[in-house]
Amino acid sequence: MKLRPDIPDALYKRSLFSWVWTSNLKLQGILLIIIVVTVAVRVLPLEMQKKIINEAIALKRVDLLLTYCGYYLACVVSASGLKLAINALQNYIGQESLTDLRKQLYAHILKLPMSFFRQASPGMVVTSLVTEVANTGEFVGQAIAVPVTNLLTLLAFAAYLFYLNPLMAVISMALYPIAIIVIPALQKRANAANKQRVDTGRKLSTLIGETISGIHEIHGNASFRLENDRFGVMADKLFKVRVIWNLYKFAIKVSNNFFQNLGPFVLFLVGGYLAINGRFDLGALVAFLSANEKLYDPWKELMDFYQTYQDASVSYERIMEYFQGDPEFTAEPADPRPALALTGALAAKDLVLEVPGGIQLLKGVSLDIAPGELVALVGFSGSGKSTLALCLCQILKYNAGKATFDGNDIDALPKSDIADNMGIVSQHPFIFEGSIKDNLLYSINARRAAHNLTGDDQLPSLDEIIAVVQQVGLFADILRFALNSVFKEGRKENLVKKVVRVREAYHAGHAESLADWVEFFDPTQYLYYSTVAENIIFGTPGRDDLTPENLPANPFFVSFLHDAGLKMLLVQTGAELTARTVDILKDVPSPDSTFFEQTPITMDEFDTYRELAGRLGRVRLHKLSPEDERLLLTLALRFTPGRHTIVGLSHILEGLLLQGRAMFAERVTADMPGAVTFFRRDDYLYSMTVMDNILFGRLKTTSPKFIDQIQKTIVSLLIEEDMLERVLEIGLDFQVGSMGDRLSGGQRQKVALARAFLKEPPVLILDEATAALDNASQTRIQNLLENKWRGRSTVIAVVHRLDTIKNYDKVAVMKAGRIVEVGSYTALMEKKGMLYELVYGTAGRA
Amino acid sequence: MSSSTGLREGLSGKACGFNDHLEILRELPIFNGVPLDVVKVLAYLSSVESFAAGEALCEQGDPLERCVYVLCGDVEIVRHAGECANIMLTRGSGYFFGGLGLLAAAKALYTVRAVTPTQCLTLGKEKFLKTAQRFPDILPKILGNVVEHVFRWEEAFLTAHAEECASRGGEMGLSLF
Repeated sequence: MKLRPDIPDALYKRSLFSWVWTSNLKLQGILLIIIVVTVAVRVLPLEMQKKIINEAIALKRVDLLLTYCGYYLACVVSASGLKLAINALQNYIGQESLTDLRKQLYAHILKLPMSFFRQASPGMVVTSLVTEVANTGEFVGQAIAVPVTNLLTLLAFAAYLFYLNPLMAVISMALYPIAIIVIPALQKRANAANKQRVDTGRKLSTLIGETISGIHEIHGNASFRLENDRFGVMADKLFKVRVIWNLYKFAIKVSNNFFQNLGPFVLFLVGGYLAINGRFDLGALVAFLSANEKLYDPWKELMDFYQTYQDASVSYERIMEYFQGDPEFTAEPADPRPALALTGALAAKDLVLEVPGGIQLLKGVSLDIAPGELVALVGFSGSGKSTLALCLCQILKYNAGKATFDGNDIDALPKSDIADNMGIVSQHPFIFEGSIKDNLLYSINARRAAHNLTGDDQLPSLDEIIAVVQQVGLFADILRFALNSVFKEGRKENLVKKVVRVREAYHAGHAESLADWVEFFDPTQYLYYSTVAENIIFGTPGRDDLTPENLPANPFFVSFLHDAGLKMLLVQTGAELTARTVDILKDVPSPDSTFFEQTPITMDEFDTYRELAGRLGRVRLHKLSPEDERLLLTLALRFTPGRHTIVGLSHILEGLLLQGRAMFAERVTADMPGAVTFFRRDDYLYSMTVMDNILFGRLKTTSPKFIDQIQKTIVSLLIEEDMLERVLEIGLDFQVGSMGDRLSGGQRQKVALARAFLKEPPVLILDEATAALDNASQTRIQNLLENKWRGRSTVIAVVHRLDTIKNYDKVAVMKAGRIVEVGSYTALMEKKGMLYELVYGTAGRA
Repeated sequence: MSSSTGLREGLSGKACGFNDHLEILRELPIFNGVPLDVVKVLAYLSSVESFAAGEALCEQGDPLERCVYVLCGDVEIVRHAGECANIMLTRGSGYFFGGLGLLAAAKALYTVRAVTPTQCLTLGKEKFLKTAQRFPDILPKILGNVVEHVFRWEEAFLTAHAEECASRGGEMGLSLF
């Protein structure tokens, strides 16, 4: 939608009312028409009231009574329908404007300079975008409808009252100016009292916080009376402030009611007198009373609207003030054109970056980098090496000097050109929620979206993705994710058959060496790395009511547990797990999924079990409600002793569970044959992961080194079965969790490297991009840079570990915002200057 | 590495690992002064791992991603310099290392390798940091413990190697950092 000329382009300069002008004006027009009709429909019943009394009832005319009542009914029905239409339109317009504001604000925020994000709190940005803008949407929706409807209604009713009797109309209206003076004055005082209440409350909170933190001192000095007195003074002050605040609130309410109720009193007094003297008919008096009563509604709605406007103004001003600022760089070229294809020649000349306070992070840095060169930026902490790299890729804006990319001033290049020609990997790369594949393709998808590409255009093939994944050393991780996935029955039938073949081949060659590390599915042994439910069922359920999540509510299964003597022992285990987990995690603020890896309680269930733990302290186990018993049984059936070490598995329970396994098999075979497919070496186990299936058991170790060893042997078998690519595809769909929290630091860095490599940009900026990698991975990336990318892309690497830079084409040594040395590694080491000092320390130089 | 052998022994008896883990962590100098409720969370997030003889608990140059407490078995601390591998010392049950790695990104200066089958209690860096984010008051305490350790160590070193230190003055002074 094109903005009107009087609306500034900068979002933060726009007024609240400008959103009304840019809202859906067509709908606003329709709304106005409906409002005019509604006002007419609202006044008509008053005239009908008068006519019913004066004409139908007074003249005893039933036909007129029915006619007027019919009109009355039609007006009431129409008024309700129209009110609904007004509300619907108001809501639609408001929400549409709110969405528009949110989108524009989000786009604006994303382009704000880095300096804003260094100070901004994510919480404030979230609150502004999610909660605070809602007031503006509400206001825009109401901005035309509410004042126009209510003012027109007020005017129409007032006009009607004047039409009935001007004297009485003036008397009934006379109260409103008084209300306009009295009520806002009271409101002002109530606001002041409220502010005082908030301030006093904060002081009281500080005092309480201080007392709790210093409780040792208080106990040590037995200063109970002193502290009680301090608290008492503050509490008394709060008492007084709250009483005054509440009194003002009540006074406003009482005044409103008073003025509302005073109206009929005046009307009865004057109107009744006039009616007794025959100067005013009865029907008109009734209509007058109705109209007077109805005057209050639009009045109240206008008052509410004023409050909405005030709230929206405050929120809007605060939001716009907070997000004040212009982007440092243009996002796209002014005239649409294809992205520049640059070669990777970079140059900096006397580059200066000064931050507020007059501190210079770069003090006139000059550096020339030829296309395809491998350049290391090294230096002491705070020397400006990362700052220089970030200036060259337009993340930071320099204040003076010049930096060029293929001769183009970096400062003036649109972001889109920089993004198309550069790949950036930071020390702590950000990984977005979604799959590994989504994250690997993030840069490519950003480029595709910027150029409006759809379909598979410019998307790398699966082979290309796998090749890069291998280059950065992410292959084993992705294979692990794939091997940990569970196939649903009836799907991937072809793969399933191949997995069973791989199992046989694997066991033929490696079964003996696995014995120490894998817990095989042996029907005579208890499985410590499987759940209690898996230990009992020891097979794949073919019915929904026998799946692990449904077992605690399955009467057949619960009755079996009872008969096997397991039920109360499991309930007891569930109670222990609940008590222990709640005791450990009860004070952890916002625990995420990591805190629930070693307990059978999930993050979402924690509050339920916290409450249950409270009940367990008061009620004996055998007196628990059936629902609580089910909750405890659920936990016990998930209990995996090898993982959930907070509670031990007793010999008695272990023995009973083993006996229960055999008993369950007998009972299922007799009562519901075919309901469970018991574990057999020839079958695929649908409830288990691919890895469990191949091993026909479960790993007892989490050691990446050992898992890598197993995987290496599995890979060759997967290749033989021609299923490696398909398995990796499954691994690429692994969900990384919020902010990639299901990945390790090293995995996150590998994903970021692969993301940049897949883009194949002419310039790669690596800001300590291998810092979180182990030696082997770091060496792999180093070889990649030296062999694959040298000559193909310009690589600028901010490097901390100096043993990796020996083969770089150029090393720039920085100190205190300046480049103090540039040259090849060998030349600089021979010179025994700053690089030499960095490598060997000051002692080595001396 | 595996959490099987010793754990299975524990699992089949009445013993529960958690209380033992808690006791160990409470007695570690690095967690001195950390409230019991937080140590409880750290103990809960710790896990037992087993290493075969010859297996490395951490490799020189690799990022320190966890702290390790040796429950049983012996480990040797090796420093690789070029082609040479020097065994600096051997330690047994009760040896703790990797605490500094929890606080910041650091790469191991030594390889720590199991000499005999070894069982360790380990606490991963990510789990520690997530806990520290939720209980930020523990960080100054842990930092204080680290500083205290550095001073105590250097003082003891200076006392024990007074003459040698005097001749190598330029390399001394870690506590002056």
